[in-house]
Amino acid sequence: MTTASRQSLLRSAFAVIALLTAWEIAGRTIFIPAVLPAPSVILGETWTRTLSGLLVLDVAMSASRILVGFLAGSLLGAVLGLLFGALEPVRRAFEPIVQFFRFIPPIAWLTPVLIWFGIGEMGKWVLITYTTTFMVLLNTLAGFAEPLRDRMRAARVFGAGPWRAFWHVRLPATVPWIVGGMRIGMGNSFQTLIVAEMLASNEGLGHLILNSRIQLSTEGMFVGILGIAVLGIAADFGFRALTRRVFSRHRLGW
Amino acid sequence: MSSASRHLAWLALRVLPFIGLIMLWDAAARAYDVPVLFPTPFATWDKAVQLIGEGQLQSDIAISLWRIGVGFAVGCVLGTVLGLMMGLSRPVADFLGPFVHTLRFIGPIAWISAVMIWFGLGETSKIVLIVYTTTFVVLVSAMIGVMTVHPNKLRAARVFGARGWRLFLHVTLPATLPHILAGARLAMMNSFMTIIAAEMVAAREGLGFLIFNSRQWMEVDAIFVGMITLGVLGLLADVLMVLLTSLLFRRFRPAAA
Amino acid sequence: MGFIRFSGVDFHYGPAGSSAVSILKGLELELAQGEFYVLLGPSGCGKTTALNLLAGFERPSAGTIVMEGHAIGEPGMDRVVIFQGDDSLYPWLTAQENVEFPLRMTGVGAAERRRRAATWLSRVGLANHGQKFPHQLSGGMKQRIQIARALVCDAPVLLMDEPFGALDAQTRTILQDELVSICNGSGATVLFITHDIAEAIILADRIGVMRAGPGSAVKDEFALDLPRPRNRGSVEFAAAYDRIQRVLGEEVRKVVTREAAA
Repeated sequence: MTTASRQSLLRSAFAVIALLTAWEIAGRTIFIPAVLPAPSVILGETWTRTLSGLLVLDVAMSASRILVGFLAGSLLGAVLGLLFGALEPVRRAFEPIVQFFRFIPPIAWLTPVLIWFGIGEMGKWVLITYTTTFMVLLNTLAGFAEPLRDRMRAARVFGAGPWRAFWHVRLPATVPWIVGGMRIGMGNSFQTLIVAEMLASNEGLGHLILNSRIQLSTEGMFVGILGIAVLGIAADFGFRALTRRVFSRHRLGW
Repeated sequence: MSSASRHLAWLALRVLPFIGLIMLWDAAARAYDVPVLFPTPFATWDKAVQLIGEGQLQSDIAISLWRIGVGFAVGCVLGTVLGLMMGLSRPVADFLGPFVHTLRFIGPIAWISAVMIWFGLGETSKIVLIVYTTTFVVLVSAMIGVMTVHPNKLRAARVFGARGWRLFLHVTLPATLPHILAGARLAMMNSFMTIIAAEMVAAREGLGFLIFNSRQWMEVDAIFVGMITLGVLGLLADVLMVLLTSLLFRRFRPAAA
Repeated sequence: MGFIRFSGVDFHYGPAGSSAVSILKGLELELAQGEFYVLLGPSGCGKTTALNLLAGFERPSAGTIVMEGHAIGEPGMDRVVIFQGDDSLYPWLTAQENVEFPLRMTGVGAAERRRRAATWLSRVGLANHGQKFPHQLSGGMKQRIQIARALVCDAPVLLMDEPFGALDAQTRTILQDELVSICNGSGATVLFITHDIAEAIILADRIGVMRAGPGSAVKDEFALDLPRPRNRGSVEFAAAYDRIQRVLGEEVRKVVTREAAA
């Protein structure tokens, strides 16, 4: 490690420790736990919830909801994006509609989804799928802006028909865009998770955040917030590591 | 093709999909067993007319837009200042980096409960959430903008004697502006999503309140009115933003987001 | 004693030792006042590094660079740079405003600024394009803006880092001829970097050919006292081309062999 990067790391570590210390002192002296619980109190609450198995259940339920919605949304977004990109009239007809729905956030769909899909898992999946689909679709479509005229022509020269040229030239070039959209979509899934768990649910990290407010358990709320952050960071890290491996031939940019 | 008929064709291409969508919506609603739970486009329109007649829709729109406007403005300033500082100074980036990279994964909706506890149920909470969502997007764009200014732009200015403050004002800032503007556009979109969440939890007016309150009475038609209003407003805000950017900052064409 | 002098200049990245990447090693270079000196070399040999050192963008790891008896310090208006490509132009400024930029930085009044910039814009053939933005102009026109922006400074030294490298062959030829007529009699000392032998012969008073890196330095120097403007079809041109090609070709082959082996 170079001197400069070691210095950076030290400064970052110092900042984190300084903030945690200030927070701890403030939490113990100025604020009551219901307003700002100290880090040690939050850690204690995390430990208690882990031992009781409640936190494990929350994490498992939230993770499974995100996984289902994320995978369904990625698939739907990629297929629609490729369809729109490949067929210009289809894109022209549907892009304005997609652009319009982009401004209607998943949270606005809460009640209609509740009415149409009930209070089970389906509604939660639908909301997360909705949010992921847009990101993947729009990013995939953006990939088609990349000019591949010469590569497509080269494929045609070597005897490929339009379908094979699409399969062997356009699709591989679009892969980094699809995967890039999936990464953004996954980030959004974690935001939508809280919305999804506003639909009647009895477990999950989003439920923990919302329910803790009603019970005035601010430390529980922080466990939920930090849980989502940790899960989000871990998922992003895992996604990058996995896709780097699977798509090693493509320039993913991470 | 004459220019008039070309315009007509362009308009048809834009409008026809929406007419198709509305017809599809109508058919689906008629097929649904309980009309109250899935109102047709016409029932929704009647509800909108009624809400406008009562003056409720206008006041809801006004209050929501006011909250977004204030929060967005504050967030843009805050995000720009912090982002520029992080981009320009390595120590500042090191000190703030860990928090920015953690908080980026915690969306505004996760903070709703905490913000209510800290800032109460009044206007401040809603505006704080908008500030939060705006700040991060703009901050990251500004920081990346500063770090990606081509070194030759800075080198040339140094040859011509620019240093410190002048170098920042004449080169770094204008070179970063396209990134900041692209970030602001994205943040505007996030603001519309966040305001609904904020107003759903604790509010007596606003579009989020309209959507959420109607849920308790199962007034799905009012919910639809709120959702469509939200979509149209968001779209209009985005168009306005692009228009204003190209008018006021003609020289600084936004970078691709 | 030359006007500009590199003595025993080393440049390497990273701390001194076995892990350091050596770019220049013991570079000796001397430019007389008013001389047009072209530094020619295979890609990656450190030509641009030599220019960056003289400009003051980088500092030598060892050795000294002296100009008029003073060590080179921070970049300044006495050594104006024309960069490769258009990244150094300011896209939010018009062509005219780009040329005015150096004068604005030195506090020249608005009217004077406009007059001097307009003069240089018309000297480089952009009189009618002053109000256009760089993205509305061709690659050749953008390099003309850069030339005007450098010459408006009246600098005693001009540093040009492959300014025509990204242009097509025809445009390049035209700009080379224009540069000859602009520089003739201007009295400026020029350090010009290129890997194009023909370009070097058209422009240079003296040509220095660099060794392939790492640890590069000047391998051989050629003085050219052909009258200007020079004719690309003349016997003298062909003879000079052949002499230089023998020296440069050997260095380029080294690079190619090493790349193939890697």
